[in-house]
Amino acid sequence: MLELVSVTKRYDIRSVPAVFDLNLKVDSGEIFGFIGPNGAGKTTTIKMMTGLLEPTEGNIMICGNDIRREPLKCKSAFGYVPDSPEIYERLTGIEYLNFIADVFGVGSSDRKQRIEKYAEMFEMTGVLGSQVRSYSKGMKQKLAIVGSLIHSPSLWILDEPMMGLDPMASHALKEEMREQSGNGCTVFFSTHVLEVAEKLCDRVGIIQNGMLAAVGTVDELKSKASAGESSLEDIFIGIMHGEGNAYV
Amino acid sequence: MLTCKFSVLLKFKLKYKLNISRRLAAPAGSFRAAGALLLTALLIAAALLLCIFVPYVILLIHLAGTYTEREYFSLLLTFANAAVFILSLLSAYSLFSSGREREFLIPLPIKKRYIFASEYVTYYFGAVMSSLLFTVPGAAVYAAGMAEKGAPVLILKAVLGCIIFPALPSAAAFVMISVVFAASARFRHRETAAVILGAAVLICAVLLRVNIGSFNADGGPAVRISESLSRILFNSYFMLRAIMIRSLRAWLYMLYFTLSSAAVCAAVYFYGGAVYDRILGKMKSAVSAREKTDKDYRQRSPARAFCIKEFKTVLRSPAFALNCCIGVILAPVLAVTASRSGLASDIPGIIMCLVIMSANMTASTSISREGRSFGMCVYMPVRSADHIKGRAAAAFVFNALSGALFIFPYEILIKLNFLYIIYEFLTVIAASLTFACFGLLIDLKKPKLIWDRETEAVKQNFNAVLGMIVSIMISLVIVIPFFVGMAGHVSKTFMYLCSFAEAAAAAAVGVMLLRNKACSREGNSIDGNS
Ligand SMILES: Nc1ncnc2c1ncn2[C@@H]1O[C@H](COP(=O)(O)OP(=O)(O)O)[C@@H](O)[C@H]1O
Ligand SMILES: [Mg+2]
Repeated sequence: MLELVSVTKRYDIRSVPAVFDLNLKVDSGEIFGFIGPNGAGKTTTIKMMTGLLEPTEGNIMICGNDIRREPLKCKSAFGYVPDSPEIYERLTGIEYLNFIADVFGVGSSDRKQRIEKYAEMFEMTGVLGSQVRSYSKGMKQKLAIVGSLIHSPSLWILDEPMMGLDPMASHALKEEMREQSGNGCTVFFSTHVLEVAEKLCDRVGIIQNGMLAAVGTVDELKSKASAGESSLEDIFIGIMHGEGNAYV
Repeated sequence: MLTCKFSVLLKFKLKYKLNISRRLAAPAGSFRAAGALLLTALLIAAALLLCIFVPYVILLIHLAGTYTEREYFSLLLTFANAAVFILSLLSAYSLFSSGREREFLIPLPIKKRYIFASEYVTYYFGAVMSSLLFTVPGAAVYAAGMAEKGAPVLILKAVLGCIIFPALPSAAAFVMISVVFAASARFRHRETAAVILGAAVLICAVLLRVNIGSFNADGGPAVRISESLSRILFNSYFMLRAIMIRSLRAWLYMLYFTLSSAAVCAAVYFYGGAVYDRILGKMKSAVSAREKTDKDYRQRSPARAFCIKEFKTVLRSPAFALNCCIGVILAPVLAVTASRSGLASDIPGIIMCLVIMSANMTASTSISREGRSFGMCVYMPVRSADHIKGRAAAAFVFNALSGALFIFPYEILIKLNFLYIIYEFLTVIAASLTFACFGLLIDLKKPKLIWDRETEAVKQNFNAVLGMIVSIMISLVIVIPFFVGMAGHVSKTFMYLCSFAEAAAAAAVGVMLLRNKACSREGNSIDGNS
């Protein structure tokens, strides 16, 4: 479904790479948590997956298509929630959603049904008539989430989606992730909230300094861990303190 | 301590306004690139100066030869008053329609008054620039014709005077716009109200000023009006005397002039300090929300969705609306006033029309206006051809609208043959398409995506200026047949058809280039801009 082959990104030719030789494969219907500290390279990786950034080296395949060679095919397959959604401020929420639906070519009955469903789920129905610039950060985030689901994507990419969400919305989002994965959609999200990752993810990948330090199911990681590291948090802290080699 | 902060603030604001440091810093990677940029900037500035100043100076020389010095200066000052007033209306409008930067400044430990003070100083600075631009050439033309010595003193007086001169017109503009915004804050759709009321004020101002200041060939009434006006407007009155009187008493007038202007500035400063925050607060307090969400789930093609989005974003933002639709707003007004001036005939008509259309920056800022949300066009599966088509269509509509709103009233008022009007209209349509294509090509090349205030995307955007210049150059090519026609014995119909053919050819070239560009951009990332 999603495959990264030795992906490297350097923002500046001379500098250390933000992402280095990243190899990753995520299967259909999987919920994959991408975790790492601030500045580890999560956003950079996700931006390369969505075509926002060009990888310096390596290839990214989405549904068997290379994002650089078949950008439109790849982009119609995924829905993306950026880390800080920049949405056309002068459009109203409903106009924005209709705009997205037009771009993805979603028919009118489908979009009506989905907009109503997700607006209800994220308690947005009342504010869809106001312009986006009156929204709070969390509301913008929720709008971006609804917008990313409007074409029922087969790959759902979210960059730190819990940030700024209230507990209700955060819960709804987690439920929706499960629901989507149950319907065969692949969910790929980055986070640094470890409890969420532990509870929700089929597999997790831990990234540190642009390199993948560990990947596998939470149980796998636990079994590889040295005695006493019984939670994802312990494992994470362990890796950050330089015991990473054990997990690769 | 606090004054120190004020100077920091002011420096920041002035730099921001001039934007020179940033423009040069952008390609700072290589020294040569900066040099090349500077060179092109200079070339463009020279071209602009040529386009605007040569006709202006010719007009001034003509006036200096026709009138007595007293009449000449009162005309000049009336003109400067009008220019400063209208330009100040525009900058006061953007002062009130943008509050983003304030949001970032207010939480900082800076006195609130200083924030307004720095805004006001930059505002006044802009007014001084426009005043210098219009008046100093006038004084120079006059000084050049002076046989006796004293010309340097005259220029000195003029420059000094020009710095003080804008106090009155800029204050009037500020007060008027503050009233416009205070009134719009009472409406539910306050921003739309601000756009409409602002446009109305602008139209009235232009109508009034153009009528008063119009330099008819025979001139009589215009001179009389400006003479009586310069008696009413204290700045013209004092400056006229300060310049005309050659004895020391002139400096006494200069002193009065300075004192009264300072008083006006102080009054505006205190008035502004009192109302500015309140008005901005009201404008921001709520975005007019429609209670009833319109449940319109019709499906449209992506190109169409983009076109509609362009219309909505342009018309809903006061800053965008003013800068992108100013041609549409002013075209009919200018058409009516221009058709009544002595020079009116069909050929200046089409030239004026093309110039008005060139000033439209809808196309040349289309990508820049997206700002940080441009990322959406990258990660969504939209073909470049589609979104570019949508943008071009929106820009074309604005261009064609401003052209048509000028050409029809103007040519009908001067009673041009109807067939010729149709030919001109066809030329306007083709030119609209051309300008839209070339504007987009410019903005696609290097859009300005990082901005915080909407005005930065339009007014402080180099692409807008470049688009204007390119459009004016294309216009010059389009009107060549008219000049040929005026000189030789070519039939009028042939002349019109020739210029239409040129415009159509230019449009074809523009469409082709844009098409190539759209295909080459497929799936591009925005690495360079992030
Ligand atoms: N536009 C950029 N230019 C240069 N360096 C960048 C840019 N964006 C991110 N980086 C660097 O790349 C690294 C990874 O950043 P990022 O992917 O945003 O981390 P994360 O999302 O995991 O917090 C950081 O060291 C950051 O400084
Ligand atoms: Mg991040």
